[in-house]
Amino acid sequence: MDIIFNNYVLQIVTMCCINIIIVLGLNLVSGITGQLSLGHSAFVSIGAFASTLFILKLGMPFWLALPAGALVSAISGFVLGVPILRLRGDYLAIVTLGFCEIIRVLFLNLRITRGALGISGIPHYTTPGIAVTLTIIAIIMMYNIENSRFGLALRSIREDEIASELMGINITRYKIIAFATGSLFAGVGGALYACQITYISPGDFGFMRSFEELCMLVLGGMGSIAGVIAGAVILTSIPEVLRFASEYRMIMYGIALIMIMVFRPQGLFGKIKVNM
Amino acid sequence: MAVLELTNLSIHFGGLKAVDDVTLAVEKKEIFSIIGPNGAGKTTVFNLITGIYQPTAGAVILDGADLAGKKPYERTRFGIARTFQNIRLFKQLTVTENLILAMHPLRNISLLASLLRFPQFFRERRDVTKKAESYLEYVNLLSAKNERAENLPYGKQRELEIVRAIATDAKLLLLDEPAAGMNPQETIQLMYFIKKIRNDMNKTILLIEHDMTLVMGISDRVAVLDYGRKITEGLPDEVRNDQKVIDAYLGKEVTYVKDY
Repeated sequence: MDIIFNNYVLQIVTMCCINIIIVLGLNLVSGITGQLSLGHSAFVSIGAFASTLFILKLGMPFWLALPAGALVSAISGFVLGVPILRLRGDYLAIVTLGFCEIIRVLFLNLRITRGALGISGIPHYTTPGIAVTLTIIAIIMMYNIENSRFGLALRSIREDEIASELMGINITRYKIIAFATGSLFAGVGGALYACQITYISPGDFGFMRSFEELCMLVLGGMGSIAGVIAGAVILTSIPEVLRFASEYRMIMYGIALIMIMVFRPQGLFGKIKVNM
Repeated sequence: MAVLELTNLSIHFGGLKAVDDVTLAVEKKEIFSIIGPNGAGKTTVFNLITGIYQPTAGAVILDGADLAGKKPYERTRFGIARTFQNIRLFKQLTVTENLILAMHPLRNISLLASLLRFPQFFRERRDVTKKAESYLEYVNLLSAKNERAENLPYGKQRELEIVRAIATDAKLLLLDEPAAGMNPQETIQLMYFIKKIRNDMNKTILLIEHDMTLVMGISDRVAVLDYGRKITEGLPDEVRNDQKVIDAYLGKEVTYVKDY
């Protein structure tokens, strides 16, 4: 048992859980609503920094700082969503990418986030138990969202925005709510991440990280919760599994991604095509 | 009283007058057709009625209420529904889901109740599914209720799109070339289908169509557009023999100036 449940493995399991929660949020925005976002990691960083500052500066307990940080992330998702969600496809992708960089540069220059030094000494609150529990709750919530009246409307927006609007659906409003909810999930993931790694710096949340999250989603299959779980688990653990190959592992990681995309373009568990 | 009135409706895109000073009134339970050559502005009229475009001048009046400034989703709630020239179903959703979406504004269930799966969530889902299935039964699509919409044959997709428009509970249906791509046999079936929904469900129908069998077979009245202007309006037989209509479709006879 010790071999299976040693600290190293538990740490990977925790990271998998954190990434599942984050990518579930991205799936709501991109896989279900069909709005391509390349700035998802910005909301992870907002959640991480907000909850960290709540803990360190305001002395909030973890169970309060986590939802508070996630709420800050959701509010920023809402505020950003209002102007940008009138854009479509590649325009939206570019704007979200730009937002991601703005947030990174902002945190790099704020005194309270200690710039490039980052914040260290965050208490290690994220236990595997907490991570797994929150992941299960997140999965159930996401399943229920997808199968609600609201979720069905979101899927119709992905299929055809004009037809959707002519069914009496206020598509701008729904996209904004989806974006804010996706940011909420990202914020929860960010807070867990900060309290797991115990050190965060703006450089951890650049656009490369957004791409990594998008890779997890596309690999697993857009619009599929099983796909999100598979994508997050595989891409989180592959670098660890391939550790024996040392410097070749990123090449193998890349090859694995290409192979899956060639032979299963809709992703491992995907059943739908998403036209961005 | 007229269900739908267009008064001096115009929209200009730069110098192009796509719809120019069109006035017409559609009476309750009427099947009213708009015909005209390609590019005459027929679909643009539909886009003005549904609010996808805002008119440069003139008004769209539904049951006496001016719809100026109303967004497309608000107009749906006022009772306007449409189908599209190129079918716009939610392709990767099931047939039933397509119909449930049409009832979206009529459904009364909070997100919280759905998230936490309160009993009313299950009750509401059962009710709305039952209602969707009753519509499917009406068009003999019940056996395909769990199919993806994209897997239906072409003619069935057309019917599903029409019944989806009906399911929004609209009083006015706008059908944009429902017979496009259909063979003569299917067109005749469609003709009976449109008459049937008008009679069974008290709908008012505004139709754009190129297929003259369909137009002459079911229309109560016909209006003809050419270069964005309404050139005539009347009973199908009157319109068919109108010289202006023949000119618009076939071109005018050219008279040469002889003395040079």
